[in-house]
Amino acid sequence: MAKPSLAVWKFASCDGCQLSLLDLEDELLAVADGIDIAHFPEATTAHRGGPYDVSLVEGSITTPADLTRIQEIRAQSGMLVAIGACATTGGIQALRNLADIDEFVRVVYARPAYIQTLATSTAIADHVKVDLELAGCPINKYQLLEVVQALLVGRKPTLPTYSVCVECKERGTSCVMVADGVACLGPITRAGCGAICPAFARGCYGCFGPSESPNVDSLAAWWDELGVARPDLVRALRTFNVNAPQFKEASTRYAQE
Amino acid sequence: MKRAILAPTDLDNLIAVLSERGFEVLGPTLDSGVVTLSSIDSTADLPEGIRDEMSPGRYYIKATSDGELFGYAVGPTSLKPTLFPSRRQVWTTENTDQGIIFRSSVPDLRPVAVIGARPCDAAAMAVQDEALLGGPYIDTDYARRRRDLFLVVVNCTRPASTCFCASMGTGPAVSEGFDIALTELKLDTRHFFVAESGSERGQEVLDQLGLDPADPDDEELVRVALEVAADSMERTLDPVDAYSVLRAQPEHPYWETIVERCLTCANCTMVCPTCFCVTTEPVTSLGDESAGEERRWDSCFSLDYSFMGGSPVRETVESRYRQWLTHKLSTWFDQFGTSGCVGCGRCITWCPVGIDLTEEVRHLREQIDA
Ligand code: SF4
Ligand code: SF4
Ligand code: SF4
Repeated sequence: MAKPSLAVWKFASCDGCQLSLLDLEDELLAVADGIDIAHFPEATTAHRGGPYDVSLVEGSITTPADLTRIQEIRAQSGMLVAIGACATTGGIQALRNLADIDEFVRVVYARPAYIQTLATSTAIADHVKVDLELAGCPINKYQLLEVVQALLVGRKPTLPTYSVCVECKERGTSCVMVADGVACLGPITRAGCGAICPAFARGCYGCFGPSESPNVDSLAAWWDELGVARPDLVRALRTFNVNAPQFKEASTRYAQE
Repeated sequence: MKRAILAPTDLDNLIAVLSERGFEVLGPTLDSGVVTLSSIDSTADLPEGIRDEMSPGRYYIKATSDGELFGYAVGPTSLKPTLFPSRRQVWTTENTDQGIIFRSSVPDLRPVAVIGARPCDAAAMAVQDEALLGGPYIDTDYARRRRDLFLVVVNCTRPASTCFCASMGTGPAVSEGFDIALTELKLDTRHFFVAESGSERGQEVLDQLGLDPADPDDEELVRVALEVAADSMERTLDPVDAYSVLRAQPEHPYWETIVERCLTCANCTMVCPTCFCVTTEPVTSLGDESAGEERRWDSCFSLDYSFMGGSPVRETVESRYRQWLTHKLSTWFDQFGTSGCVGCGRCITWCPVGIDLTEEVRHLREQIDA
């Protein structure tokens, strides 16, 4: 049986997620053994044309050129996996969705006329059909490995959608919100990181975006009691997953209060 | 059963005797501001003079200079992680010339002795025993850990405001399921424990320590201390009433009010010492083509847990909270003959938004009566 071919694509992003693939040092040889890496500019200049069995897509759609390129990639890909907060919710650059892009362009660039950009930063799934999403800023490399392993044997990958709290309890980390009064986004954030921040006595920053059924209003009310000012709550919801519908809706409401 | 007096130095001997007998000794320790359960070598590892103050969604540690070694109530860690770990390998396969071989995963385990479990912990263990060992299908991993466990329970003289074991009939004094039970007494002039054995090997270990018998005055002090503790509990739950209230009200509009608060974060089920729901996850490896299955704690609060026929059965927040409370306090009786709650209060303290099951039951009762 021919090895499945894999292509890795980048849109507006920092490259951190695709580097997770290279970061799988111990497993990389086995990965390379099982799949044929056909297009992965970060790793190799070798390039083979499509179609590809699997495409990993990092980054968000922010330019008119992106709009056509993502369609081309979709057309050449059997399975399309969006990886990371940028590709799954629009990333931190989706902060522009709440502001005036023309003003940004004027302030930042010496020759604004050269800049061709969209007014928004959006997820890959807003433009084409996405078969699987890996949340996180950055993604967890073991989740990526799980996806590759699952695809190779044709099973469903195990990707949690419950809250970060479950990971805290699984690893025996005591709750920073209950024990220290530290504001934590964990109860409304999707698991996947392994509860890294609470393990270092920090509240969760929400890198993996909304969990399967996030009750943002209840957590917000509790943050009020912990003494977090509403503008700080709004900022906490507006980071890497600012454009995730549940975070966006709630933070917009709180900002208008 | 004759009771004996155990001095704090004898407690060090107890730890030594248990490790000589091959046990890994676990006890309460203070870790990142929380009393938890971990390996101990001597009484120096115990959280001396510590109090834990709890309220719904909040936990505080206070230091005192009174030198009590067990002057707190319960931390988030019950016996559950020790007897029923949050994640474990169930089986693996290996590819051989003869084909695929399946092997159940039997980890190398050192028998564990726990010093300082609470009466509610012992009661919760009995509840888990019923669920995991009581039916036709035995959880063999639990059975092994359970068989090897040596349990030293320390009765509670300082229950927290979240505790309600007295009303559940599970504390503040332990009645069964222990090897040794201790009650700590710190008087102006004396600091000692009154010890009692609950099993043959418990008695053996006590005999090995060569302790003086307790006199009737000391036994009376224990009785009074535990009575005061029971009377001091602020929270109560009537298990018989909860049984009927919950089973009669699956459609009560009251459940919808929980939507405003419950995060469906699953903390309550994770810290609950009796919750035993798990799921299994396949594991495959790239290199050697081996495969296997892992089991991990799951929760009635996760959507996937009720995923059947293409969608979750319990999609709404209220249906998930109702499932937890109704099973825990009502249908558990039908299934296992007891309440699923032992009154430890952990789910009240460690709920990030302080949802208190005793209050929820009370509100539901009031709504029905109104
Ligand atoms: S620290 Fe945060 S993520 Fe962990 S249990 Fe507490 S609220 Fe949940
Ligand atoms: S339901 Fe709550 S109080 Fe009852 S045993 Fe479980 S954690 Fe303890
Ligand atoms: S009752 Fe509390 S701990 Fe339990 S799922 Fe709801 S918010 Fe989380």
